[in-house]
Amino acid sequence: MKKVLGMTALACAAAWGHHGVPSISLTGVDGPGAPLETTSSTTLPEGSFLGYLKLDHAKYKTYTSAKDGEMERTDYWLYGLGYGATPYLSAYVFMPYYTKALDDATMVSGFHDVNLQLVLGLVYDEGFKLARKNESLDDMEDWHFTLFVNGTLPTGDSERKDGSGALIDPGMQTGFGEPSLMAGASMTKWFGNAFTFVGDCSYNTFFEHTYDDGTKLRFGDEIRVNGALTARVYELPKSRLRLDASLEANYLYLGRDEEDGVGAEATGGSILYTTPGMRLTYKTVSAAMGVKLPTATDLNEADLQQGSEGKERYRLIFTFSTLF
Amino acid sequence: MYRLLLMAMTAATLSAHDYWIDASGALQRGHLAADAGEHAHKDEVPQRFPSERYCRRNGTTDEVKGPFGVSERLGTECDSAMVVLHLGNYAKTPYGIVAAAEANPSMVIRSWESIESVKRLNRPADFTPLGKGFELSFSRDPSTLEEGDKMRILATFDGIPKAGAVVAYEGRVVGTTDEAGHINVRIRHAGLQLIRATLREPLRGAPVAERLYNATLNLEVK
Repeated sequence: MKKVLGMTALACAAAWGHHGVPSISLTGVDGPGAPLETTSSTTLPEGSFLGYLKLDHAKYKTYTSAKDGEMERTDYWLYGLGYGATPYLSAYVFMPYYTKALDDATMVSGFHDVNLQLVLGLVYDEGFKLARKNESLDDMEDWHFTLFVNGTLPTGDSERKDGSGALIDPGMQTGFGEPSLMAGASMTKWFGNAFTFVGDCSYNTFFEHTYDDGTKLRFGDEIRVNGALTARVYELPKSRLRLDASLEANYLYLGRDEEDGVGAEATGGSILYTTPGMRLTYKTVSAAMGVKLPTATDLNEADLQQGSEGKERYRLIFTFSTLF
Repeated sequence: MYRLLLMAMTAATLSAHDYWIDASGALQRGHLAADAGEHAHKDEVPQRFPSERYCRRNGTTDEVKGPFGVSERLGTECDSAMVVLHLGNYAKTPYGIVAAAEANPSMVIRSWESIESVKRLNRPADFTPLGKGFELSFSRDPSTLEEGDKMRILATFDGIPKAGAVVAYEGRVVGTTDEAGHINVRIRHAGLQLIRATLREPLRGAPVAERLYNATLNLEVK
């Protein structure tokens, strides 16, 4: 069960899928920046699509040098498609694919639960209003907000078994077995110059699932609070190319999992990550890369939670998105 | 994507000379810096162009025909004063921008007819369009406008809202007008405001490829 936490993050990762919408204005390279992990308050232009790809590659600390089944690495791939239904409402579908590798050469990979998301855009301009269709650069300096909800459907496989026919650890499964729900909000303030502040918070809850072997498991609720500052560090206005640097603080609270109604050992805790990153935007295409480092952790049973959040050496984040 | 290319091209035209009408009613051309005119540069030599001049007073618009140009004055008694200058045909070539008639046709990169309009609100409450050519107006009475306020600008052609006009404030492009001809612009300083927009109209069977309208809106903000 110690690896459960590593999997539960996947649902949340999908919720952040609308990061990286190229946010430069239609008139040049001005406009708000977008960090990697913190959700920017951007909705898609009406009638436009967003293609999205994200890789979250995590390398974990191992406690022993023996090949004893410790978590070694995970690769979360997220493929997404978004659509701007109205200027203030965007819809997304995400398909996650992950690989988890233990140090004894055990590896599980496959598509995880599909994730659906709705994003409502708001702006504060002499009161709260729905996000506008045609914003000037001066409009972009207003406080922008989003409210978002998303849910996963149990399309992945939650009943994988090993060679002996035994159910593998739920943390290694490629599905939750039940839906999950998330709700959150974000805010963005572009200061009209090179700097943008972005913040978000969200709450994620899971339903209890009964596995084939009769085990009942409910993953712990998760709370995220993120803050980021981005700075435009280079621009080529004629080419509509810009480079942004970002620095983020990503707080994650993990509730304790419940197994057969009882709090599970070696689960839950709090982690604060620091994520420096860079984003390159060319016209309506954007690519970003950063490294997410656990800088402060308070895990419930830290010595037993190898392979969970907070026990990474690093997470390498890469995203690519394009509007069309 | 077409829109992006259009705006990228138009943005360049917005960096050309500014036209404005000062408090004395004189039409000026040059570069008017935002910081209280310290770096303002004005063309010294009066130039006259084919033009139309309009003066609206107490709701009645009068037209004065005849050539008119830089350094000449419009009536300060007008609630709104507007001048439309027909600056002629131009061509961009590898050796610079020249009068279209003087350009070697094989060397022309692009060509256009340039029409410049400048409108000054002497009485801010007279903010509605005059309905004369390409024109910028406010969407509501700007009498109480202050530094830092955001104001909705309306772009019209003969009084009809125009979408896709590229709008700049003090030389900085801030966006394009929507289907209703609207765009929001923030007033960054007190004093003379210089809000400018560009509209392009492709031409067929004409000596030049397109007609390029530039419209300027002037207003004093206390």
